Amino acid sequence: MRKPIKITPRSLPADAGMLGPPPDGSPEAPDFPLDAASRFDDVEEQISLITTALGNPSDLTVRRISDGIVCLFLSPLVEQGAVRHSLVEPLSKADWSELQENSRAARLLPVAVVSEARSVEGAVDKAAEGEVALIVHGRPTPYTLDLRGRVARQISPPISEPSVRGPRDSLTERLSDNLALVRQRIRSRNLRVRELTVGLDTRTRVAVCYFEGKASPEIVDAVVRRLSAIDTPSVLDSSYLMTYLSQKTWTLFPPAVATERADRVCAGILQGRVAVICDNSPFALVIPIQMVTLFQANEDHYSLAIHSFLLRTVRIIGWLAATMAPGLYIGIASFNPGILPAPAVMTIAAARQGVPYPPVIEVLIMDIALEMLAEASVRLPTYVGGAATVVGGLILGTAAAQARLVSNVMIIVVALTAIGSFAIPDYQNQLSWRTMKYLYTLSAAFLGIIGLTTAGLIILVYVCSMDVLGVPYMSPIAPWRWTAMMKDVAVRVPDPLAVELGKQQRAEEAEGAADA
Amino acid sequence: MHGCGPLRQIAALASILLVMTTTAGCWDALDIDKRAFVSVVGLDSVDSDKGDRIRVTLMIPTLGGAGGGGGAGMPETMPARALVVEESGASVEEAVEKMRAMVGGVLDFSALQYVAVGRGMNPDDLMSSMHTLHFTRFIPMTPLMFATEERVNDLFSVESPSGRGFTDTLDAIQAQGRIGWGHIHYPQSWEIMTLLVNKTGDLALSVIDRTDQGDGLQAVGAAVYDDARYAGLIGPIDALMLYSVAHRKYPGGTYPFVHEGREFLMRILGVRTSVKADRGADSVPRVTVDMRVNATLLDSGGYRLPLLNRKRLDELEQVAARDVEARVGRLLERLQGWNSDAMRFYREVRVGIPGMSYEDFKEVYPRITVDFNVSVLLVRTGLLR
Amino acid sequence: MREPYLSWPEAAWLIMQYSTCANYLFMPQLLYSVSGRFSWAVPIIAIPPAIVGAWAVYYLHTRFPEERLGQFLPRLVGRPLSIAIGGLYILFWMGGALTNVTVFAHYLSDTKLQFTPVTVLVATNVLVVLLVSLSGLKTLVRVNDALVFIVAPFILFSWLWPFFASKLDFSNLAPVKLPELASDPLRMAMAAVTMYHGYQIILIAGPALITMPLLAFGWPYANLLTYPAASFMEVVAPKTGLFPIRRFDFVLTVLFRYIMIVAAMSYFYSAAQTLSDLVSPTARRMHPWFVVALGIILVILSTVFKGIRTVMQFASVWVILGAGVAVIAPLLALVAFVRLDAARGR
Repeated sequence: MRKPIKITPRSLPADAGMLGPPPDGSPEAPDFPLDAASRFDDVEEQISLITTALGNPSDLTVRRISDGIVCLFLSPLVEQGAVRHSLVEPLSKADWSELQENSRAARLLPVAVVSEARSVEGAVDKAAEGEVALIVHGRPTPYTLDLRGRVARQISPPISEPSVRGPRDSLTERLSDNLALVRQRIRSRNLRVRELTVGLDTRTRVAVCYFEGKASPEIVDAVVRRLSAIDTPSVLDSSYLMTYLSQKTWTLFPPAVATERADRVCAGILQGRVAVICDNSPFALVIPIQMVTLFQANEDHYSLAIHSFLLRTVRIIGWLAATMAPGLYIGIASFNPGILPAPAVMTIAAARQGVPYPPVIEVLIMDIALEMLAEASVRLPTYVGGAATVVGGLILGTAAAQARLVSNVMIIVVALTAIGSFAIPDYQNQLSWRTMKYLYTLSAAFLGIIGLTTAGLIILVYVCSMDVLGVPYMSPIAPWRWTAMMKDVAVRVPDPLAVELGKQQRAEEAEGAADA
Repeated sequence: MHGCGPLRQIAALASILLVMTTTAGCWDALDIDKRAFVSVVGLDSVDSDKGDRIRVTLMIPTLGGAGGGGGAGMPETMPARALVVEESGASVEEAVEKMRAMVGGVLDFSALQYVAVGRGMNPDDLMSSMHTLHFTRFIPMTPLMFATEERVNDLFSVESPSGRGFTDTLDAIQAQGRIGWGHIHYPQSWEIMTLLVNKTGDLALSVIDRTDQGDGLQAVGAAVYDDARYAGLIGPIDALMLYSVAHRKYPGGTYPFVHEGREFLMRILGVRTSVKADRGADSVPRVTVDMRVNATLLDSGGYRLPLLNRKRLDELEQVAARDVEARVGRLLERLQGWNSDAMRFYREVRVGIPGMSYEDFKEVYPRITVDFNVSVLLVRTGLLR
Repeated sequence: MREPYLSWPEAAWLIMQYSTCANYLFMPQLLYSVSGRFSWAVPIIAIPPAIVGAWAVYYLHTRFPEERLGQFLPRLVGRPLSIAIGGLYILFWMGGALTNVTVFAHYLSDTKLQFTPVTVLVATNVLVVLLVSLSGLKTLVRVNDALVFIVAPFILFSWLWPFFASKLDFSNLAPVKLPELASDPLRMAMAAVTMYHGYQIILIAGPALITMPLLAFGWPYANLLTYPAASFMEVVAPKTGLFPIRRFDFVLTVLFRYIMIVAAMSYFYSAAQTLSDLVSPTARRMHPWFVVALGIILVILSTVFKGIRTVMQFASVWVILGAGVAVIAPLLALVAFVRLDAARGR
């Protein structure tokens, strides 16, 4: 808990003149006593207040620059060179009296911003966040200067969303870099950035970016309102914010895209969505999204329309395979083999001979083995990971079938499931559907292919009932939004057409709004 | 937020739980490897003092070569093996029941490919056994049907010299018909059922017999039925003509004809037949049949340059058309003699003369007059010999 | 943040899908059983009553724009009569839902899943229907919209394919004989009156609409069912055994399932909403447990049916109910017109 700090108000009454600036503000020598011992009592008091409030940490540096001028900072967060060049050198010859006014201090110091803390408590917070507190004799509160030099990664290619074409820079852990990446791409004056501090303990900076005129004001307001209302102690990553933003505690599908691609963030902003960029997190959230967004990769917009159509079709087939292949296998192998041509039935029946388990157990064994393999290959260090995948591949691939624990066909099914799920673009989306796969599998074990369609219907009802910030999750498919559907769902229309359709879409939306 | 959001989620979870808990009772689950899939069913009539009426022969492919886990499947040259079992009973159900112990699995008809009908099949039994297969054994709607003059079990026991399976050989016979090697067509079982149940015409099934040496299968033509009673056998080319009329739109086969002492062979690419019926003299229906035949000459019949002449081609088209007309006319006479409406004229008669029932029609059928108007279009001339 | 209302295109689609899917499942057999070869004409005869009905429902909607059937009925005809009329509507809708969920369960039980108890199959269907009803009207519309992508191509295919399959013989339609027409004129008239009953969902969805030129939807379903006698399989099955999909019937089963669910969802939601409104007119939403209870009742009621034939027998009784409610809608509009002042309320 924070201790209350006694602070001296900035506008002091005349009787407190000993600490206050000269009433007339003249630069002449002050007329208060200059007794050496007691001369800088106020400075010492502020130092001790700040030091105590920060818990006297070992990495706190208190540097006395000259008489009556002391700077105080947490050394790991501050760039030492900048302190020397911007603070120590200019001020070493200065007198505390020259720093009584912000304007003069700003003239003396070669930094962009010299802020005045509203209170000593405010200065403590700033110091904790990594700014330098400059305590000047005669001033009731310290100045704060941003000389943060942080340990940060260089901008590197996106690791979780690589692409063949398109820009290679991705977000990093530093908010300012990330905002720079966004600003460099969208150089319009209409790009708005609103910064908030979230997390009672972590005090994480969160930037809300949107495009004025494209983003719906209600959605922006809702995002800001919900972010401001967050009362969680810690926000270590942008993903902490997802549940608060969507206000859905038990959702099965991601309500926001988490992306490390700067171009994807910008595309979202330009589509009228809101990007929430969180300090210390290389993943920005783009909200609200729809189900179809999760199946789009940014690369779609960098290739020819026909190519992106092909890729999306492949993704949809992959998605179907990833979710339904095991269920379909159970449906065929346990319930309705007749839906396949006779030779295929014979092949499956022959492959299953000698396998001791029913197809559903076979599927569960292999699926869980596959999940373990996927999980292990993510967690393990790269040099062990290779070995793990080889061993896993051997077990999944041939050994299990040769030992007749599972059938050959099952291996094809599992391979299809795995490849299919890797074809789903968004990682969270992939996980959601990997979860859904079990619903399909169990339903198929219950009623065969009819069970499979039942599970499909249940999931359909669920996603249709979902709204994210008032936007239907299944739109533009359900409810239908024809223009949006033509523009960028199955087919990404080439750009000039997309611009035309976009205009049409805005007109329709305006009309719809007028209707409502 | 949604009014009944939490409840909806609870309901969703409950539904998942329901599905999971009831998985244990997956009533219809029967593993594929525990089933014995029947690929061909043979139906025959028997007379026995025990009261047996139907002899059922099942062909069940054995899952040979299975068990070799790592992907070593059946060698290409290994003959496809099949188990053939035969039993008779008062009904299909009873006969099949007797086979239960012989087949080593739960009999499953869902992969049924062919149904063979023996020559002596009693019409009532044919109807009832097809009903059983369709509605209590749930065969798919699409198995192909053919007739045989042999004992079904003998036919099933034929081992093809090629080593290929029985059904593969049957498939190949039909496929070759399509590309001009003779003619054969197997109707699908739903088609036969529709015909028998709706009574819109009579049955005709292709006949598959053993070769004279007994070492393979051969197509010998079509068996024509009066309703479901076997009436007679027609040759392959007559069968082609019969199907062309009966199906109204038919992909065709190979048709030979003679002109000026030369033999021609044309491959029919497609036949479109339109049939019209109205009331003729004495309330006997009068039927008009227009056949448009598209064909290609497989062989120039020894003509060389003359075939480039349009007039010569027109002449050939005329000759072919007259030949087809004559053949169809003769075929109709035979059908009338057997009282078999295998050309399915009743479909149109029913519309043209709404009051006439199928039974009424069958009474006057031998006396109906049919006009065949055939036109042949030779779209290609074939090789110039 | 939710859009509070349905837009009129959404409502239009709801009506169309509800109408189409309900008709697709019941009408071919029913029509053929009552009017034989003449059944192709019934959809055309059905247009005038449908226009009258649609007009009546629209008129009621403009009179009571913010209210659903169960809410304005008591004000319009008084409490006792409102229970009777509302009850009739509930019976009609519940009957529709019941037939839809049961007919398919019996079909499955007779063919693909012979050992699974019918009640379990009904329960799985009801489960989906319940989930939709619990999620509300918006979800109902959206699920309808999404299923259209599966159902519509199938329906379009089944309409258009016969034209290419050379099996559609218009000469079958030509000689319409009067005896055929008069075989059961009363039942045929009722079938015609019930035919397009989709517009009645406005009685429930009405308050969710703001402005809605209902008649502008058009009735593109005039030629919906021309020759229902043909079995679908006969129409689509190809001639040769070489066609790759031999087990097309399974695909059909799944497609019919989707058609069934579209109709059942709308029926069940309408019944539940009306009942809820009649019981407590002030409640903004149906009570979830009430909906669940109604679903359980549906499952229990389904056990009455012993097979697909009894379901179809019930469906022909249901047509009488349908004719009843289709006649009541114009009557209600008439009452609203006459008792204008009373109807406007306070």
